[in-house]
Amino acid sequence: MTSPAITPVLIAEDDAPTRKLLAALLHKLGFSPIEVRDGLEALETMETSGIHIVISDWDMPGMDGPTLCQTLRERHPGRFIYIVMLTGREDAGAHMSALDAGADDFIRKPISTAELRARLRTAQRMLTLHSDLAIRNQKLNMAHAFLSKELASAQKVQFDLLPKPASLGAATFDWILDPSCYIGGDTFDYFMVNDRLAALYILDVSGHGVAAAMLAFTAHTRLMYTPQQIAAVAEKGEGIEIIVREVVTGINRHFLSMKDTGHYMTMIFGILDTETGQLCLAQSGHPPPLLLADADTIAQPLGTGGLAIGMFEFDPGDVEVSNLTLPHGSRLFLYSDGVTECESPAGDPYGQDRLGARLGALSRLSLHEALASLKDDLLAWRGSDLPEDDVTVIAMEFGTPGPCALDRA
Amino acid sequence: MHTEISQVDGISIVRIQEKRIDAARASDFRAMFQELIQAGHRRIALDLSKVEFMDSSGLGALVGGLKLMGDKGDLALFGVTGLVESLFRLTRMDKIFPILGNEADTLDRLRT
Repeated sequence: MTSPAITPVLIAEDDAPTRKLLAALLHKLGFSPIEVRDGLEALETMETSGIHIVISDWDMPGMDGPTLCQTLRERHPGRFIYIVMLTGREDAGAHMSALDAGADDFIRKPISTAELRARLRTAQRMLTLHSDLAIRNQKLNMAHAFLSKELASAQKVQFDLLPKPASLGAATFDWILDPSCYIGGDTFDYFMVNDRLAALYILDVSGHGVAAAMLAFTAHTRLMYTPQQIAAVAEKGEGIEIIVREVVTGINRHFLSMKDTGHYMTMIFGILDTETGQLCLAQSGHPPPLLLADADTIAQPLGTGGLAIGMFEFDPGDVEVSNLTLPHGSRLFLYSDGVTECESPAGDPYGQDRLGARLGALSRLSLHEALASLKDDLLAWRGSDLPEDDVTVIAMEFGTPGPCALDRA
Repeated sequence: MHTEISQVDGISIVRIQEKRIDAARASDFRAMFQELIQAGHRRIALDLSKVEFMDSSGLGALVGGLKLMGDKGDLALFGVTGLVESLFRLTRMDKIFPILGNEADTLDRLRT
């Protein structure tokens, strides 16, 4: 806050007696007057000082008052300058043009102390309001920068949890992720549960923001601990379908046991026999996985849907699963709804059909190249750098990896 | 949340006047159910024919509304089309909510 005792006020006035009188009055009122003789000198002084209040005469040689006003506004667009114009004219048109030029107030000549005090009090009040606002803005900017930094580092932690491209037995995994500017509830993983079975999943907690991200992290952590559980079930000689049903039911129970957060999640969870290609996928309300069984065909959806996790109680028997044996060279794709709901500038979603066709058209490229190409395609589709929602695609190729895998005659 | 509410035979027909129910409107949508239940509405026919898009937050709010009703009342839906219908099918909401083809059938369903 600026104290009146030290508030400097610029006086631009060519007539020496009037200028001296004004300076004396300002001094008496507790301001610090700085005197200049014309508009040009005033401009120069304003360039090099932090003055916020200007009292300017109307007619001056070199540069007159209205021109000074206009020039100050043009040269210092963001700066708070309160301009009071001295006027002997009672002409309303002249007042209007001074206001248009950027004057804030007027003082009539001859100058009365009472009027000058009143005008300066207004100027002082405006200046105080302005500096309070500037301080508040600065605080807000700092808080905003702090929160943005926190969110960015949370997003980084979330990404660091994701698996690296890897080969698990005869299965090769790779993925692309185009993050939105917001932290979100998407995550995925794939890992071996014993020397033969691999688990894979993608999940999406409803909504966006920190709460969704924290719940996604909870699910991720919970699923990280499933290998022992899965291995134990497998050791009993149970088939992979039983394991899948048990894991999904367990996650649902876990989510429902938490206090109702208003969130739920969709998920594809699967167990793969990395030797035989036998695969069981559970569909929990997530967009269906796409299977590309042969080169140059269209990747086809597996399953039609299923109950989401964390909405209602269900039994292992209610879990909807797809059982299949992956042919050698086939590719499986899991993806977030940020892919299919990715909108073009005209508002058309990318859609599952287009995705399936595109993946088929890219079948002769290596898995890595196909994903990179798909990422470019999605970027071209939405026409902007940052997607609305995380764009995630996880690809798995079963059998001999590489571009030749699909070249079976 | 823009809605139009009318009464037929003690059944409240709630017509949603929004094109999208997404993250931006989900909390309003959830609050709408709370208000309806507090105001004593027990049998609700929800008209979604104007809704072209619903995301996971919107669906979460709808399920929240259903849970709030609990045993106290009945909720049935009609006018479910396009992307909303796809979302309901994908998440099996067609097995959770009574979803009917038109208003008359919905009212019949809630009368019984």
